[in-house]
Amino acid sequence: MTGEEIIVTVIVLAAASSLVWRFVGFCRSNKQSDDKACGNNDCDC
Amino acid sequence: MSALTLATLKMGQTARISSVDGPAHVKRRLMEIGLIPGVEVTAIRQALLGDPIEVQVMHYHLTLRKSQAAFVHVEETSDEPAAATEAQAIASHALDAQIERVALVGNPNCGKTSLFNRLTGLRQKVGNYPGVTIERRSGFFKHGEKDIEILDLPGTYSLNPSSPDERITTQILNAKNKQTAKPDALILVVDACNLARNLYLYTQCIDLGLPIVVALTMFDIAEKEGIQADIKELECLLGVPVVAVNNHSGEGVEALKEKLFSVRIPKDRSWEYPESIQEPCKRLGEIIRENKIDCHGLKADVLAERLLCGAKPISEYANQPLISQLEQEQQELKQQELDINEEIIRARYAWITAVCNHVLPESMRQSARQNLDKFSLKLDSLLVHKFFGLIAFNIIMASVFIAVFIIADPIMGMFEDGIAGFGDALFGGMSDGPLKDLLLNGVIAGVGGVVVFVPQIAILSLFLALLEDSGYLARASFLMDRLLSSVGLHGKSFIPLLTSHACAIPGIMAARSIEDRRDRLATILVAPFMACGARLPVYALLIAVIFHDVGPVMQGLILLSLYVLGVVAAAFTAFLAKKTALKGPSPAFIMEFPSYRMPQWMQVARIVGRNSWLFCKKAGTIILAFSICLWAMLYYPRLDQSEIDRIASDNGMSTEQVETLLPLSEDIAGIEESEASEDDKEQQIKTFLTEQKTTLAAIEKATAIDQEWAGAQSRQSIAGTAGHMLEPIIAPMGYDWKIGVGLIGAFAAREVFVATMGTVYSVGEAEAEDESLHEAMKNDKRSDGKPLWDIPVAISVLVFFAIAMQCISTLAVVKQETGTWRWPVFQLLYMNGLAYILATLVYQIGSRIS
Repeated sequence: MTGEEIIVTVIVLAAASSLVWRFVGFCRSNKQSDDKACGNNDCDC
Repeated sequence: MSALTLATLKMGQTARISSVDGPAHVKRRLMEIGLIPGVEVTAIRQALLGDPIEVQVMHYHLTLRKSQAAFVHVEETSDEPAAATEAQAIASHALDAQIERVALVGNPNCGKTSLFNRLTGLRQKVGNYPGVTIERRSGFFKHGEKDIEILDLPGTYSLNPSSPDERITTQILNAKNKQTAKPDALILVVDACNLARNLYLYTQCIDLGLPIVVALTMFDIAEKEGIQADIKELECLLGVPVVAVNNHSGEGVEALKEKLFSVRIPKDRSWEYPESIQEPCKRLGEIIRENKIDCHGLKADVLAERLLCGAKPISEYANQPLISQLEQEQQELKQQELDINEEIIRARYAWITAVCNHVLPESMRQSARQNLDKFSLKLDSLLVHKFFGLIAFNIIMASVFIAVFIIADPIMGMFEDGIAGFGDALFGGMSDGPLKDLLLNGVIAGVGGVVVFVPQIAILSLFLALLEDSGYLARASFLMDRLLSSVGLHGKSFIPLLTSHACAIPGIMAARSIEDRRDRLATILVAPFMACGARLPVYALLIAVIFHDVGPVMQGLILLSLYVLGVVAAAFTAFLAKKTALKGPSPAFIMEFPSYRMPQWMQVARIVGRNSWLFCKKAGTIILAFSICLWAMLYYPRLDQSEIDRIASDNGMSTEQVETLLPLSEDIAGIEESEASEDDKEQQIKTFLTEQKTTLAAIEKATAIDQEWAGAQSRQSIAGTAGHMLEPIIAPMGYDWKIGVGLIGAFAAREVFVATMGTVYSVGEAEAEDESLHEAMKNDKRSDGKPLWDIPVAISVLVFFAIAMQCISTLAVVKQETGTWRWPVFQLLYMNGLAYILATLVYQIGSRIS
């Protein structure tokens, strides 16, 4: 594996983990939410 | 009982209310907002088809359906003013309390959130229509060393809630202790333009036994209208501090903070109920005291009154003597045919009338009536007219969507050029390889493809914010009520549905202001059909690809038609739901009309900035991550060298020959795009080919081989393989694997479809770096040589996106608001099923016609 390929692999793995992390975080926060969705009228959920 | 009712009044006619009847909850709400016997009311206008109507009562305008207006019996006015009881000054005592949490309470649209922002320095959303705040918000301000928590609560006309947002307020005010958010004191926000109706809430708040300070807002507007309440006198009559505050300039806010620490609990009520109510309350109160029943902070007599009029469930107080006595008292009241709620409201309003008579001299009340917001009245005569109002509504909405294209188009062009130039400048010099490909075709093509739509998002947000802040939205609800009620929705559904055009999540939450459960559920069910900001980039991209030569006005109208499609789908769904699962009687529609005002430009700028920032944030997080993953799925696994060689040799060339000829095609494209005459260009190309010792046919063949390589690479990539597996399902809609991959990505966020197209057409196409996404999509062909993006396919994709439910966050909010997974699961299946069927029909019929 070349150095360039290692960099690309790291970037792709980081992007994939961030998507999984966001999804898990979303499921958790959804489970814990009480009377509000995200605390704002304009939200970026 | 008078045969003349508010519903039968001629427009412009003034009458005096003689009595109010109807179902208990409707009657109570009508009276609480000021429609009480003795008060004068004027019919102003009616909407198209005669319903709902707008009336003026006290010092404000109200809209309600004729079915509710028929409960208000009126009689022709005589010259004699209605009798009013004399107010008594209220004794009070100063409170030596530790104030740590203060709640802002008041009627809807009286300036609570503006004051909250002033007090805390926060920037919560404010708007000029009732029901902007639909949840509890909290902030802090510093007083010496101490942090004081301020709670901003949804507006309410009374502490008898009739909708979920009002329930949030009453739950907090009736909380048992500090752990359940009970405040230590209240700032009662009172609109100085509409003192009488706002003071009704005061008469209920003093029952809570909490210290109160009154913040008199809109004082400047009231002064312009000739209303100058005597603050000292008001303070004396209410027995609590009263501070005039100006939310725009901040005047009076510091004084209000100071007064918070000398707040007073009003000693007792100053109005008297008739004997027939006082006596039963007294008897119940004695039982409560004797049995030491926990009143949760209320006085025994107040709890007795609440139990007697059904405002508190007796089930909370499992005490047999109390239950027996209550049943007996209620039975006796029934025999006397006495409506306790009506008597209570009348007694409170009688006291309020007396207070107002003291603080506002008769001459001032007269001139105030004459000066009543003439500007709003004039504007309403056009914008709320039963015919011209609808025309104006359509013109306003069409202008918004046309402006989105006309204004945004040149800015988007600049964004596109800037992003392309940025990518080239940063990564163009890198040597070819996976990293350069990832950065150019994954990151820049994916994220950049989405970011170019920021101008359109900003312009749409700007117009929606202007409509919100001007006071037009409540009028639009009035205009739309008749149409919405014909499909089973409600005038109050209009604002949640319009809000959903920015994002369905706040729209669904805004449905909390709808009183009736069935109407609220129907609104929540159909809100995701409204074309949200995430759909806009998909619409704009496909309109630009397919309808590129029709001009911005036509493009704007096509965009508007997609928004209309969402509305039609919503209407159809609401109609079905209200005929089946949500079947029930037509509910009440009662809504206050705010005055028109110039939009607050800082507030508008904040909304535009926030929406644009959220869009960019999404592009920089989810969409960036998704674009990188998608790039990898399209880039890997790579084609074998033997396969590359085989494709080239099958076309009569070697791989080396193709790689030598490919850069020449870019040179020729450069000559063709130059500004020279056609003859000169031809001559230049001939000279160039002679110099390079090749032919145009050879270069074209090399380009074709390159495209075949790209196609083979895409087909055998992970995304390609997955997309091809999807093809049997999506083929009836006319989609190929690329669109299939885009549809899957759109379930993460709808804008990902645009990013996917950007990445797919950059990774997959040989000349992608030289052509825009629009061009690449226009030039894409199916295996049989026909264009992929023809009109039936594009419209089919547009219809799919207009109807489909692809937002997981929306589903989660629907679950939260409805309290069950049943509704979001139904939405997911129903909306996606409907989208599939309609998109298939569009493609099948469209392709046969074309």
